[in-house]
Amino acid sequence: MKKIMFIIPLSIFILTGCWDKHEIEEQAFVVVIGLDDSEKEDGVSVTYQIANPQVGIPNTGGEKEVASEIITFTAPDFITARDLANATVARKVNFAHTKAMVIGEDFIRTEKAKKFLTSGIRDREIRRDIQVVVSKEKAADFIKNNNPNLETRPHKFYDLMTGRWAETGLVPLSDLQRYFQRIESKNDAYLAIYATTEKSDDDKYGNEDDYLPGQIDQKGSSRTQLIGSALLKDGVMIGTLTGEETRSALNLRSKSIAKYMRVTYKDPFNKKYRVAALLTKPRSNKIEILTQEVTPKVNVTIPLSFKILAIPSGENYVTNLENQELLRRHVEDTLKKKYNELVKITQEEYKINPFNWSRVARKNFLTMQEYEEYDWDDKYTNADVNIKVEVKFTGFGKQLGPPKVDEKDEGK
Amino acid sequence: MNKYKLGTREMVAILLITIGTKFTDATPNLLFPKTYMATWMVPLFAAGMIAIPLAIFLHLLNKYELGLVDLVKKLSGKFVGTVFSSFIFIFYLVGTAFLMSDYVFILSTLYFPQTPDYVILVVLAVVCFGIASGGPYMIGRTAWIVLPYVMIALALLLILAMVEEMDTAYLFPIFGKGLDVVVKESFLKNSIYVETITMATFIPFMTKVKQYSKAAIIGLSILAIEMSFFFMFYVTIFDAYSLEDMLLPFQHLTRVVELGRFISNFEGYFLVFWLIASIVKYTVYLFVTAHLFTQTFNVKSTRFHLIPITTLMVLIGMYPDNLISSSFLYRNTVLHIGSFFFFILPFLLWILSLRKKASASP
Repeated sequence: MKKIMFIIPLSIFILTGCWDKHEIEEQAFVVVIGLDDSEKEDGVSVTYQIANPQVGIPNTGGEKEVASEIITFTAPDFITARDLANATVARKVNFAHTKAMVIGEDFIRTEKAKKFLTSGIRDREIRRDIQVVVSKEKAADFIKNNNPNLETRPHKFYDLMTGRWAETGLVPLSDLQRYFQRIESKNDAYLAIYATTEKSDDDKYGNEDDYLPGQIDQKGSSRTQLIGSALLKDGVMIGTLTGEETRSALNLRSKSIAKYMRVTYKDPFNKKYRVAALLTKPRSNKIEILTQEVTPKVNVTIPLSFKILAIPSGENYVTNLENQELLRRHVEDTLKKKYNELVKITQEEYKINPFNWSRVARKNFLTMQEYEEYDWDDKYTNADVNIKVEVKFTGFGKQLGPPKVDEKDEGK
Repeated sequence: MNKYKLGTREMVAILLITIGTKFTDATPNLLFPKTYMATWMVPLFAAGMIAIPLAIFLHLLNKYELGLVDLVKKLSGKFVGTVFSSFIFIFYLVGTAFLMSDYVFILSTLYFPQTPDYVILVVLAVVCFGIASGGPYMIGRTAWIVLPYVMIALALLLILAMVEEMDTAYLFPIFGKGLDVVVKESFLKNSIYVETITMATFIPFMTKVKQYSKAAIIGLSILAIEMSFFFMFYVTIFDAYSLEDMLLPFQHLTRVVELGRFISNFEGYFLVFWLIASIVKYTVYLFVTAHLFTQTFNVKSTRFHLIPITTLMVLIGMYPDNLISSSFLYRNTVLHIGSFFFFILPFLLWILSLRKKASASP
């Protein structure tokens, strides 16, 4: 017995070296996987961006090496492609730290993409928190052109960029987990981050968030733009939402999601200027869906807090309570109009809601059979949606009244 | 002599570890495709269902102050008693072997893809054998020592999971595929609590029989809530529609959690606690199987029979080709047979004891 008790602990040391031993030195960590259609019927064009962990660290000899290696090839799927990648990469290809999956817009608009994307989840290294990014151009081009100047390491860029959703709401939170949830429950549209590295021809001058990627007229060396979202129905892309629409969609969802949205509204007194504000959602929405009648009725109450950031027109919305009330009403009306427009688009054009309202509708049923029979997605297209916005002023920054501007300069 | 006997707390620890690890293996996968979002009700209903036969069984235990096998033999006569207890023995032998291969597949799918399955199985069996050969007191103490760490790890997991996006709306429609399905599944799977009855095999090693009843009641009530809570968590995080096809939700939960933005991918830490709990669990099963054998066939020295029983388990455990056959075909069947058998057994014993009383009184 004593011998056995000695052998067991000893075997811990011996057995570790046997099969599933991983040396970090021998691994190639894929940070981004890109998927595009290939000419081959049963294959995809796979792009891997493999990080170089040595780069930028002093005294490792890797200081001057490139930050990552990008390889593209055609393979039957993106899991088995890793063996093919070994034709050029000497290390063992590992997905354990993959941050994002970029899919070309042309590809995600086909059923084929859904099949390849969903089949990959079986692999143990593909985690459900990988972010899904839809690129306007081919995914391979996006990955190649994406060259952020502030970030040396590629994983950091995707990590930070996709993490911004929580603060700005300009892009949605779009991980694989949610992609699967929407497909498997066959309810609600899925919003994926929409991005591009190519400048769009129809440059427009929108306000702070009314853009699709590529439309922002920015000058600088990095051409990557992540704004707005791709709308996917049952795993296949059917449309796009601009940054502004994405924010509205997030706000219409029951849970409080985006924390800080910096927005501007037309000044109700002075149409030349816009009032800048910080919008936050302090509580969850109150959503009520009445499913008893033929056309369902949806009542949404959205509580919003509103902090004034800047009043370029110089009107006093702070100490003058009447003006304050006027601005509040104005903001409520503007938002309500925007939300109603978005609901209308989703009802008429896309025929599916990206607001996760099926979760609310589910509560009205006792069993899944009843719920499936009701067919919420179909009923939604004719639903009578009633939106109420409740705006509350919670802050005015560190200034009371507007600075005294000479009346003569200010033509009212 | 009482110094090396098991008390209430060791017994509670044994029950909590053997039954309390069931929501971490493929058991949820047997339930979710049937009951969907109502799966959290199954542990509660099943506990309610098994409570009646358990109460009768505990009553009989306290009355006769005997262990499981002795009780069966005393009440149903030598021949029938041997048949019954050898059935329990085979149930345990086969059930444990399949469960073991279940865990081997979990480990090889998620953590050790290149290690041959039989190596994991043999290592697991050898470690369990090592602890089991220490005897019942060592097993009980190990379970008691390990329990707080396992519980802390589980609590930590729940707290971290709460930070992730959870939605209680996923729990609706409240009855899933219907209340009738939930009740039916609860009955068919009530053998998830079968340990509350079969662990009475440990009674000869306990100071008092009363302590066993106490442990069984405490264990059952904690477990019903714990299991139901975890199923509820799975649903609120993953949605029941996804859980239908998601193998091993517990392992997925450990992969989902993050500690801040920088510490992620730390499922390996939970693996340690899960492994320790699993090892204790198999040790208990191994010992119980061996002890059932020695008691049934009236042979001495349980420890001596551990070696052949372990070998037999490894051999049976190698039989299923993959998780689907081990868990979904064999174990499901074993669970269903167990549900009926252990539900009826206490009633049968009770009737027999009443008859005995009646025949003894005149």
